[in-house]
Amino acid sequence: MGKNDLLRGALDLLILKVLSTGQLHGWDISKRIHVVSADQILIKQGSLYPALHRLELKGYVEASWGVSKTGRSAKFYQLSSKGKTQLQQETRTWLSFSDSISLILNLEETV
Amino acid sequence: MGSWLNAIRMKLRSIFRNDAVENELNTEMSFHLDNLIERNIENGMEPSAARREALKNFGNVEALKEDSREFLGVRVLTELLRDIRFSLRMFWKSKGYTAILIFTFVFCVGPCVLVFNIFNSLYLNPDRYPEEDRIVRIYDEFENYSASGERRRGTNWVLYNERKEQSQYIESIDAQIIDHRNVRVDRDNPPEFVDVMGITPSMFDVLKIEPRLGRRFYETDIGIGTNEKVVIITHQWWRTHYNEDPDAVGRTLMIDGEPWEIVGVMPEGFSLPPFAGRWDVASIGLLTPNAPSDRHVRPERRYRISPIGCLARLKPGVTKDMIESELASINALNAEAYPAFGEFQRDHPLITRTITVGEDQIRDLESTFLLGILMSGFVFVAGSLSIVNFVLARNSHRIQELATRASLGANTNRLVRQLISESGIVAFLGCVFAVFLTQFGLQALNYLGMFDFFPMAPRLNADFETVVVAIFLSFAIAAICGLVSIFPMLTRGGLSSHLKDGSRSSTGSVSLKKYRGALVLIQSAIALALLINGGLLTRSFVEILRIDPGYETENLLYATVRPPDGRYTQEERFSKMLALERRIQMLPEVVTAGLTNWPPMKHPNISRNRVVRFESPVLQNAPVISMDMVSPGYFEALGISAMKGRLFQETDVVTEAEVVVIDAALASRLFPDEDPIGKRIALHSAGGHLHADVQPRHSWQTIIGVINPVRINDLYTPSSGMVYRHVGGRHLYWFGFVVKVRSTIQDAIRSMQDLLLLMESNVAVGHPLALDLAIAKRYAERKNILYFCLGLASIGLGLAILGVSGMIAYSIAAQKKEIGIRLALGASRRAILVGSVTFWLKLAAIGIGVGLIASVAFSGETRGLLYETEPLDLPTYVLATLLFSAVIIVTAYSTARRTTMIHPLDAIKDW
Repeated sequence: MGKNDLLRGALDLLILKVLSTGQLHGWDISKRIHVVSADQILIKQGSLYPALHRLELKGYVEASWGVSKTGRSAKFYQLSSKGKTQLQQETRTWLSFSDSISLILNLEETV
Repeated sequence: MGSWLNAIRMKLRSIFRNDAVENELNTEMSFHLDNLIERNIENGMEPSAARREALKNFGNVEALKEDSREFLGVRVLTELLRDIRFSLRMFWKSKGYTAILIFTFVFCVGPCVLVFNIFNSLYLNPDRYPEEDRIVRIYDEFENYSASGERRRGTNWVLYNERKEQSQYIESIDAQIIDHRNVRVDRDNPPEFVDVMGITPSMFDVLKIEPRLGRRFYETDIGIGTNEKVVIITHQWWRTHYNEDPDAVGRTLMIDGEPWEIVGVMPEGFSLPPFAGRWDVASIGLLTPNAPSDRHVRPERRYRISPIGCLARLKPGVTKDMIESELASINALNAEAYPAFGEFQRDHPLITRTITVGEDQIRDLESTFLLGILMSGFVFVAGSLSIVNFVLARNSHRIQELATRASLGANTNRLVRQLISESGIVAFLGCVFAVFLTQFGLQALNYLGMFDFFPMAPRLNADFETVVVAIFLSFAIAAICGLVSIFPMLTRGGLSSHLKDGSRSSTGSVSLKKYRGALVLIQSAIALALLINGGLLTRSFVEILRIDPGYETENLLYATVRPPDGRYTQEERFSKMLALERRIQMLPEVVTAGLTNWPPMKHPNISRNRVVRFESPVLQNAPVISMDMVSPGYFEALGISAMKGRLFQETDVVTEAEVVVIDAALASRLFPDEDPIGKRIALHSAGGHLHADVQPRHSWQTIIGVINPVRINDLYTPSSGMVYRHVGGRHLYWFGFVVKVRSTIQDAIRSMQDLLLLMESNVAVGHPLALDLAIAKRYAERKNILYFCLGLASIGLGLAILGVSGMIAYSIAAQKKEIGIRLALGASRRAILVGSVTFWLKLAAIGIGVGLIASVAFSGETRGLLYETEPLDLPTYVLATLLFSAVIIVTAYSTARRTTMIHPLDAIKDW
């Protein structure tokens, strides 16, 4: 897995996770990711949109136009049933991957 | 599946609502940016600094939009257009390659589409009558009825009536019989000899066709017992005789001197279904109501199969098996009900078959169609391989260019799309030109008279189904080309491996070379198979041209005269025709003239008489022969002289003992080691003597002469035996005149018509026919098939030559550097040339072997089209193989020579 793939996979997972809390538009998703990660994940905010459109194309998220709190027209995204399944699967994969990495790192320390 | 649908929906929305999708993308990103700017301002930044910071955090807006467009599908259309423009530019740059590619495409797809069009419009989807698949022709045959394998198809009124009354599967049933009548439009116009079709009124229900003007026939119109006789005219007749005047309906025609009222006009293009090739359905001018008379339904008529056509419309859902099984049951029941008929069927079971109109249309042309389909299929495969060869060769030149572009950052998907769009463009152009070729081909074949021998002409335009097939075939090839093109990108290592390949070897991978070798092999095999077929047909045609019909055909005219039935007694009819014969003989334009019941080239060639010797009158296994009735002038007009004995004289008719002339074919069968002159024979109507209802007929006839066998109708089949009886005093339905003329045929016809008018004001000279033209027309059928197949063979051979020469040229060009080095190191040009050509010639030789095996395997399919030529004719095989080998050697040598004529420095310079 290349670095780009890793980042892309992580971003998709983060978006799906954030959307599991409910329907949000792009700006809110971006804010949530920053808040939840305590500003540790620094990504170009605009890169959120190609990722959202990619997820929409795959059918993991569904989009609809609505009105934001400020009264402006905004595109809202919500998790589809397929997206929920994908989230569970990717979460498991990520945790397993992360555990494996931790194990290896811990092994190096003990050796 | 859902994600696929979602993706398609998004892409389609982007294509058809491109602006809306673009606006949404702008709005969405602007909303985010504005929020970002607002937050920065809230955090105390100056508006301009806030905007700068926001843009910095957001990233490159245009690049991000571009990425999003990828997923939203906004770029699909623009990229497609861009790819098409690029591909067109690439094609324009290499015009020669493009022209050859499209040319190959057209001649690869075109013949297949053309053959499909003809087959489809005649058989698969003819569109002649509503729900045509429910219409069948029913015909009967008595098994073992004739030893000569005659094809006497038809039925009789007894069987027709039984089916009409007893069948549960038949919706409506119709019977037709052709007749010829003397017709006068009015008293001012001379009589014409017209083909008239007698039909039962139910024909309109069977074919589901109604007259364009006026009304159809009803049961009350049937001639028996009605005073007013009615007739329906065809559209063609209406046009030529009434100038499409709607008032023609209601007028009166004179048929054989009697008034008939026109009650309807059939629609344009109406034609009756063909009947086993026996009727020239296109020539029919009038339809008359028809029904069996008491005479027709007598018990003995059950045993005789007459040339009555029987069409039935089946009830919906009834299959061919169902109706045939029901008809067999009806036959079995009637065999029980009429014991004599049942007894007769022990030796001669009644076989009832059904055939659809489409099947009937192509029945005698099955071999032609099969060969056409087979050959066009071969051409398609040969052409496809050539195209794949071209694409492979071109791509191998371009692969490094594509690899370089990929290594410089070009998206692989983009390159794949571009290659596919190139294939698509070729397919589109090829498809368009192939449809044009089909349209042009149909018109050209029609102009050349190719369709004259089809009972009903095919649709002469490239219709919807044809276009669909053209598109399918074109894009099938394009798909293969596309796959071949993108294959290097999908292999392990992708395009970059080809950059490495380029540095290591210039001859391409070994597997690719093997693959190209296989293509050359298959192409050679196909081309040789096509050439052999063409050769066999040519050989067969040469044999046909050598046929001697056994009589002089030059300046020979045949015409029919049919005196009206009711007006004269048999004796009066005969004496009038005899008088006409004498007066024709005296015309200045005429050398001599004779009378007969059947003319050459119009002869039904039906052997329906068994002939036995006086010494051994055993009917079993007695020869079944044809019998003609002729006057003494007949032999003279045809230039036939006696081999033994003598021919007829005028006095023969008045002698008590009947005399006959036979041909040498019968003489050798009946009297192999004896002189037949003076021997006595008897003729028996085949089958008729075998049942109790009919009395056997015995009259011993003395043979007075033997003539050489003649081929009176089927030029391709030698006579199996022929008996000529003197025409004198016999009942003939019509009289045929064979006339040897010294002027032009047209002058003689005019003089005969004038002569006849003086004798009979209501009788016309019918169906005048110049014998040499009629024979030429018969040859034309075979000639057309030959030309068509030779055309396909030439195209196949041309495509194979293109493919093979292209492959050799490419192969040698790919080794240019290697050749350059070898030349620089002192290798002889000749050695290089021989080495280069040998590999491909070896492959071609294997291809020739495969082609020979394939030709032998398919040889059975051509048997039906060959005359006096064996499907495994050795000289043809040898000649075709030598010719093909010579063509390939010359092609390979000239291509290789041209390619190796390079200077070593030029070759190495490109390195």
